[in-house]
Amino acid sequence: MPEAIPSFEQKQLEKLLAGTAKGDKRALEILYGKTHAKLFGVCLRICGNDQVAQELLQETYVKIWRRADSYATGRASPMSWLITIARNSAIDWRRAQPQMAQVSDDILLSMKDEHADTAQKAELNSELSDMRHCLRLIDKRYSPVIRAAYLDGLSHAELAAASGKPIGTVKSWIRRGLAQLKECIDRRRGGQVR
Amino acid sequence: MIKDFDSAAAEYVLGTLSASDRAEFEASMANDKKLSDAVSFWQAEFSAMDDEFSEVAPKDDIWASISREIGGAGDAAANDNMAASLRRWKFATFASVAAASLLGLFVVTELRQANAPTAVTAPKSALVAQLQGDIDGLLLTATYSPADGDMKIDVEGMPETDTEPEIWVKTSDQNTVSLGQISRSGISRMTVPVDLRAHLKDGSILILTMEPPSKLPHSKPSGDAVALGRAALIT
Repeated sequence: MPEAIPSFEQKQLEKLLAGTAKGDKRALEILYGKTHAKLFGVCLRICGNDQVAQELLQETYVKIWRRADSYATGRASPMSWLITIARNSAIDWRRAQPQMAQVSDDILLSMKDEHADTAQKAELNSELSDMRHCLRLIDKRYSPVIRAAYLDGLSHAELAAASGKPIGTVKSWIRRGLAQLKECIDRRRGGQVR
Repeated sequence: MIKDFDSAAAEYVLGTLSASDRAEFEASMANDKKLSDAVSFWQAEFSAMDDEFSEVAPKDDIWASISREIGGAGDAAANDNMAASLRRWKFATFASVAAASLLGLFVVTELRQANAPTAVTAPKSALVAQLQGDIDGLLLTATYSPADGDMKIDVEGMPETDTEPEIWVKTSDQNTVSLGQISRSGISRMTVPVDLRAHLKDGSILILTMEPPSKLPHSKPSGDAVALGRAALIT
């Protein structure tokens, strides 16, 4: 499976996180320089508001400063760990809105596109990651909701609104979709089950 | 085959757990290697989709704000105005607390909220309130920007309950209006609806109650105030 970040860059980020964990502000500044555009993209996609995304980005790096010592090398890539913090910050903001956030037309469109994409199973190839490969193989109803939950931070209620289905149906789709993903990933790895 | 703990871990990573379920899951994960392993598995798998997040450069210089917030040296001058205002506000607040019969204490303990990016170039006025009650350790710090209606509420020490925290503001005719439910811990953000902003001013009373989970604000509190505090304007 191809890695999203070259190993050399991963090691650089790990060193910067280790420095940050020791209270080296310069390490955090360099880390910020290397990663902030990606994390801002995460915040912006999920919250949909430029000003809020900037505040979330600030909050994200303050959390990174405070939690860098909890990053465990080898458990997750440093970029994945950083994105998780940004995603969670943006999702927390989204969930805390007094009124449910509107689902944008872009998200609705991407959910429809995914239906089409899912149908094109002929595109499957061994270069895809397990997740991407399996998202194209599972029931075509499940893949768009799982993608929208992960990439756009949609809640069950928002997914129900976006798909026009009852919330119970959406919850069921996610559960079944995740089960199918797990089976597919295990199967792709030669039946290895944790 | 997916197992129950796998399913919970996957939904945790996906971000679809409710706030209370998420807090419960995190508490369980701290002492359960099986759960934390399952979370690592799903995080690694889902991270394959991370390249779909575009790289976007923020418009403002966020690093300067981060640097100040984590205690940077050499750039304090840019924030002198706000810091001075906070000191003045603290002094005024300490003086007024003695006369107040409310349970809340209204002391700013952090400069962090005031260091939002918008305040860097042109410090603006803000309302700040700390809400406290009879629950030991429970402390809410609310910061409201009248300029754009943004409110941040930082929650610490919320005990486990079946209900969710909801914030209210007392109106001039002694009614209460809900601003909505917030997260049980950490910082919640909301944009106060335009028609409610007039209720938020120097001296306004903010109230926390615990309510049944709801995406929409309730029309009236179902129980007594768990914490409350009076807002003070800092400029």
